Amino acid sequence: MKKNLKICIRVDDNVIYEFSGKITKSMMIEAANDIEKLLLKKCLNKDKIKNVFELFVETAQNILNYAYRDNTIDENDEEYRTLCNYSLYCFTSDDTYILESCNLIEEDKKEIIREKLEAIKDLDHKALRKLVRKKSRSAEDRHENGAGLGYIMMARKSCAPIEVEFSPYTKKGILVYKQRLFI
Amino acid sequence: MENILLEATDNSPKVIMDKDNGIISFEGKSYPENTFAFYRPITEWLKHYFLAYKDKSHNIRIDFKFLYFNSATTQIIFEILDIIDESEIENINIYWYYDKESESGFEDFEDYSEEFPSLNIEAVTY
Repeated sequence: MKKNLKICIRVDDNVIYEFSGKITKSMMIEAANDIEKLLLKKCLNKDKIKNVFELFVETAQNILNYAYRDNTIDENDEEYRTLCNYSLYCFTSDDTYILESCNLIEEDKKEIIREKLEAIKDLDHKALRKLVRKKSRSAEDRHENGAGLGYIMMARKSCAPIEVEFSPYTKKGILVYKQRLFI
Repeated sequence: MENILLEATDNSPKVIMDKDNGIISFEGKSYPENTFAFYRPITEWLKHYFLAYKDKSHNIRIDFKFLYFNSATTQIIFEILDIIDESEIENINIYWYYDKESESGFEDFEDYSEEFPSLNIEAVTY
């Protein structure tokens, strides 16, 4: 199924990649590969690019798998498009990357996300690695679309805590979910 | 039981499962649209292979050369290593490849080798 998504990649003040329109999972993979090539050209730290690329793919797959889609409104509407976007900012001066996404979610997902973040907020890098090992072996959070390790992996590859924000949407039971990762 | 040979794609690795020569290899990117569905035939193959292997004497070589992988693949690698560990076959050599500039590549190696000490996974940098 095709879904609307706006993707923007900026290196310092320059937009190096922009996409806006219907996207499928296979198109997302193409976009991710383009982005990898662009980053490899512009940025020097290969280890960071690995983390950025893996988190880019992980987050994009999450959006495509779990974002709430509102069939009652026109997805081409500009206002709606701002509610499903995905941006990567690269700052070459201090080699930092910010991966920002915004999409709609069902209200009951808010508590689930909060609980997942609460469980990892005080864990350091070593403890996060240990948790990945434990969860991977037990497969306790595994589901059809993934391993259920998303937030733990995001935290493990981030250099600062994950920032999330929930705000009301015009439709009852739906929230606007914003997420920011620092890599 | 047939050998498996899958060519690499933009989001899935090249996979070689060669029962006659004892060569198992994964190379490339791994974030298939449905990771578990992609790897299911591979994990099933491994289970059958190790069961059938009991009478054989040749060495088995397993190479993990992933460039990028998603969290579902992380879990699959644990599953594959669990299958190998449970087989209790001794003449298996496992190699984990990573970019020498990549700290996270080394950390992945550490995580797998510490979790499965009896498998003696060896690191290979490139």
